[in-house]
Amino acid sequence: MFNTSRRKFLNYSFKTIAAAGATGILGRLGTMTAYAAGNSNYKALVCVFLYGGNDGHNTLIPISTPAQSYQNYLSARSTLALPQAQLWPIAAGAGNTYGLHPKLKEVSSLFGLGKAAFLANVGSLVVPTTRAQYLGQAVKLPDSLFSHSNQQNQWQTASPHDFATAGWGGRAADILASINAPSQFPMIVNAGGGSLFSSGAVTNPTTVQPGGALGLNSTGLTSRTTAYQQLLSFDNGLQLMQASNSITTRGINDAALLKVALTSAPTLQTVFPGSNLGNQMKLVSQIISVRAALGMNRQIFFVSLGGFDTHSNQLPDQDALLQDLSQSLNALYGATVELGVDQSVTGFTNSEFGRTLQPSSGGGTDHAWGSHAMIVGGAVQGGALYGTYPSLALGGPDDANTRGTLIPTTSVEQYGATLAKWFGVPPASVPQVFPTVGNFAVADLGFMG
Amino acid sequence: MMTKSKLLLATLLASCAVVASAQTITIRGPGEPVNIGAQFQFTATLTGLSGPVVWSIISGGGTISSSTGLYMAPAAVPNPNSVTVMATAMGVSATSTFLVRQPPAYIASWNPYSIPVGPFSLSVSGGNFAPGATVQLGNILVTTKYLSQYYLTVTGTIPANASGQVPISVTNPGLGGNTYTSPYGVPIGSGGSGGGGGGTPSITVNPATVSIVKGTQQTFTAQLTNLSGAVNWTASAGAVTSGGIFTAPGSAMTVTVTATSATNSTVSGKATVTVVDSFPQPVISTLNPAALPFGPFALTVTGSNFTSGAAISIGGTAVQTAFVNAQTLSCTGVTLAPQQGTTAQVTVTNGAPGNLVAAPVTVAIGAQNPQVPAAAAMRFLEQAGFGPRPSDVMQLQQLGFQGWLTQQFAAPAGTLYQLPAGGVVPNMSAHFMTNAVVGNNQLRQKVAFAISQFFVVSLNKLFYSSQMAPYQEMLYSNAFTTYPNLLSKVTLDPAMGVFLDMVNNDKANPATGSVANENYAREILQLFSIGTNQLNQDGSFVLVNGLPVPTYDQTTIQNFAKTFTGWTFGATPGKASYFPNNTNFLTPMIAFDPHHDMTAKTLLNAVTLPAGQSALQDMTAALANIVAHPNVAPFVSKFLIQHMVSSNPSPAYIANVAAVFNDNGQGVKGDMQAVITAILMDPEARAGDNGNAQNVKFGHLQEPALYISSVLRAVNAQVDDANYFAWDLFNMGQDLFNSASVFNYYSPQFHVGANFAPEFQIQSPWTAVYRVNFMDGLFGAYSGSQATYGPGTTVDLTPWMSLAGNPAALVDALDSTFTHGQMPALMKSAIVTAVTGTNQGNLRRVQVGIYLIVTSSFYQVMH
Repeated sequence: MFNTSRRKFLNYSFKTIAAAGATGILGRLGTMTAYAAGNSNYKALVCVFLYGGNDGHNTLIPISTPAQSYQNYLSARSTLALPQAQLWPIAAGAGNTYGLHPKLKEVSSLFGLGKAAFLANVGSLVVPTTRAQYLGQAVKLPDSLFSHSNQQNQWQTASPHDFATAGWGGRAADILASINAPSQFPMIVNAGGGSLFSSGAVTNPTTVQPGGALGLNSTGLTSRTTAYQQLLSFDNGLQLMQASNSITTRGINDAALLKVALTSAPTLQTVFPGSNLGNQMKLVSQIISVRAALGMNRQIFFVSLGGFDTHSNQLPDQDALLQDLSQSLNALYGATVELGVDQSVTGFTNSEFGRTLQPSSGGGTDHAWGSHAMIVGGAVQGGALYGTYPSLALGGPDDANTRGTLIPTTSVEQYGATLAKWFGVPPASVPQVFPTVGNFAVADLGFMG
Repeated sequence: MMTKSKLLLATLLASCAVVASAQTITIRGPGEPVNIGAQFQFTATLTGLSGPVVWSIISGGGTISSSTGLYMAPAAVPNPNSVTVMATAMGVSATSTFLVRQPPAYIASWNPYSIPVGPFSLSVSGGNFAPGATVQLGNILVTTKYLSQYYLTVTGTIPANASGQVPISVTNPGLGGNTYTSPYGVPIGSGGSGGGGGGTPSITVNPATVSIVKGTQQTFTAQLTNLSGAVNWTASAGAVTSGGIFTAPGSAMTVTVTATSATNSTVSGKATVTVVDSFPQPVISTLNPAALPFGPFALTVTGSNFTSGAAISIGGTAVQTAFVNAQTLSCTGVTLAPQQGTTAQVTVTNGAPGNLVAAPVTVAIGAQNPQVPAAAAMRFLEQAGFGPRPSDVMQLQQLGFQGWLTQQFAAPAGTLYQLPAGGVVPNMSAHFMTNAVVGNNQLRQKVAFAISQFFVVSLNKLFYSSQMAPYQEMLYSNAFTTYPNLLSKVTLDPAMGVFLDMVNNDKANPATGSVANENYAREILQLFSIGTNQLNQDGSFVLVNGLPVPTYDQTTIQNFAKTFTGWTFGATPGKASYFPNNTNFLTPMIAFDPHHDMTAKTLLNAVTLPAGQSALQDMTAALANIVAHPNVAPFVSKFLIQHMVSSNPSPAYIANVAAVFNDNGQGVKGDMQAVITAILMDPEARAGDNGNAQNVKFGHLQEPALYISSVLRAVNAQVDDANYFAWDLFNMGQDLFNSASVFNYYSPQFHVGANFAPEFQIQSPWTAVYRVNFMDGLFGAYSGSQATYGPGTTVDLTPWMSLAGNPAALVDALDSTFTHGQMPALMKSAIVTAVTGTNQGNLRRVQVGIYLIVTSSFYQVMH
């Protein structure tokens, strides 16, 4: 049975863990200096895509704010409400106490250290949209709302329309490509599967999988190797054949560069979770550790975690997912500290949509719209909540219908533009990467300083 | 503050206790035996309970973390072999019982390949060897030493009189230990060679018997066993040089040629030479087989008077011939696509001097009077099946396209994954590949695989093969029915019910605030029938003011969600039926009207279902509403075209197939046989049959399962369920039956540049290199012509090796094997150059030729 001492413990444990984390990181300072000698201009973005639509309502919960309390959440969330006593309380400005999901322990520590921030109710929008405008279809709305594939693409392309062909990571890399010259290694690395996010008009990402570079097997037979290279340049006119040749050629060349570079990788002391996402973060950290050998001044990484489409069985399923996410984000941050690049690497979460506040039959929730995102890194103006936390009233001012389907109050473009500006996209070029960001009041939400 | 939170908490706990209708705990167990020493992560699902869950082992052994449920199997199979794990939360428990097994040992190879007489040490490689594993080598007494799970060392002595081949097997010790016998024997004694000393020294002269014409020459070689140094050559008549070149005497007689060891004159070997006045006239009596098939063949020629230098000639071309005896010759080779349907003269030449030639025998090559050329048949089988196997090419040539389709439609379906004794195969992915490579019903398999990627369910939510297999079986047996039937079967299938949460979907409950689950409602519309935007019949978007028009909105989804309430698992036989019933994956879901939302619903195109209808009435009406939507024909047709023929079908192609989809000519919508026929017989699909240039957007990248099976089928590979391909498919992005979500391994919408390129979604720079390296492993990692790729896969390259002396002929044959005989000249010349430059023997030449073809984009992009 929980009691007041449990409450005290939770409050104190929050600070205690934060302090322990700091000690642990400081304790590794000695080993990191050896690798901190890379270029001082380095920056990297790590996009963490949560496939399926993470339920933001159980990620960041109001406990006590001027507008609403835990009770507002409890009454709307009903059987899926998380007990208040299990939440990690975070203070986001005077008089605003929120609670983080019980499995976001490490994120709550990073938040306390000022290394993590939340962005509330962000999602795909064409223009700022109110409930009345939505219901009256008085403004343009994103295409195919509530569809996984379409909304994933819209998040990744930062475009509220279907059929965009380039991602915003790719477009940012298009603009910044020369900054990595003369390196031939791609600026963007997919460690979490292919993504539209990573493809620009001219930028092609490479792909890595845990285990490192996958080079072309060689038999030492020069005749075979020579002919193989010839056949890769062979063009009989069919366009898909050329696409196949192009991808294979890139795979061979990228792997050759990475293989050489990784031979100089230091052994990381940071402990990564043994999960798939943890392995992706480890690989990203290893590649960051050889940034100098690869000749990289700017890098963009894409990692992913699937399984967030919790139509049923949400409570246990989201528990496991958020624990993995929290530990993996923490490991990424820890590795950047170890490598001396904590000010240079920013991780951020994306997910195609949030979920209905009202439960569905089966102990889950359905597809919705706006949700809350996390930004983690040494350069983040952390310990704060950005954007506007929505009303949790079913059918209330932020609900697109009656199920707690949040109409976003911050757009994906604003979110991306803030990160891209920090990354080095010149302000004048921001509209090239985010064509509709001008529809919104600000292009910089401030969470990167 | 403190007081308030205390109160809040108390309220919450109390409300939980009231709300909880049933308190159950469900364990997700391993579903199959757990390997000894391996870990398995148990998970428990709590209903009406809260944590923590405490884990324990009731019986059987191993260890489990009481808090996390991480189970570690014991180091040996327990006796009795049954482990029961229990999970307890708030005093409520559940158990999971399963078996522990030793992973089965197998032998992959050994070194040295053959063992001479005397003491030996043999290195045996394979997998899953356990400490204490023993190797059996025929009746020979051996000692086995365990090195690792991959290696054993076997020592013993081969007796002096031993020869021939002995079987080799390995047995793992203890309960559950298997015995694996290699399909290949180990040559021993005089059948062996090389290796350590100590055995009986001997000399073998080659050839041991030979017939030559008087006054001509024959070169002999001596093979020394357990002996070294030079030999001295002598002959009972005629003359022999120190290099073994024998010159026959001037008249007919029998001569003995002897090689004697220069270091040990007691050891010698002999050959018998029959010197004749002239070679006799060879005579052919029979050919076996009497007709040559398409592709690789082995031919035995029987007759009389064959000499050791006799050569078989087919169609005027001498082929590499093996002399068995004076009555028997044999050869292997490959017949080419352009030769199919022709005949050739087979003769035997006894060699110089004289070059007497047997009277020719006519042999038919391939299907006679073929309905379609071999190249066209091969292309058709790439689209209609898992690639052309030579025997299927011949059958299709005989039947013609329509005849073959009729035959495939009529063939009994049989079952795919069910075992005769009940239950399902242990490894569905491996079994899928076995069926694809060696199974019949190619068209049914291909269509079932395509629609399994349309009506997707995945093991990432189902978890057990026993739940997945009946669903795949259902698609397979219904693949040639109608789309409306498939949609109905899929909708009511319990596997789909679980995967997209329609099973136990309850009407709104005001007490808990929960409403109808939207998961199935959304995906049946978005993915299984009409898509998000209105389509013209040619697959293009309907545009209004230049913008696509949505087919439905959120209100439509909520109405369909209500329509799909009230269904649960079929009752367990002999048990009462409830909502919700226990899981049952063997029968369709059943309706409980008290759990069905009986309000009126507005569906597609403003069709309204009146209030008060039963779950079944609503279901029937809703499926009819979907099937009636004009999008269904172009949406489903385009998907099937993309899977079978081309990623970017022209609008006209889509419209042709959609018209047949809408009406098969007898007023039936969605007749799958008519649709499949229309897809495969369309002029756009057949345009490449003659090898002429195609539309630049034509073709599609072979998905990984198709890629592997096509290559294996082309070379007549044999595959069984021990194959390793599930792992390779996983690495190529196609983890069979386990796609990441209902969006399949890849999306039909995926683009590369301006082209649709669905399969490219899983063709990353990494997986592209993996595919190339996979083929390097399949055609390069072994040194025998009859080779394996792990247990379960056998490829015999002997027929192509007989051509390797002539790189151009070899590449022609490989072109015929893999690329319909339509390989562009530039590509062919690059490969001929590479083969010519390969100086590591005939097998290596064949391997290099195959590798270069099957890794090329010309091959990987089926066109």
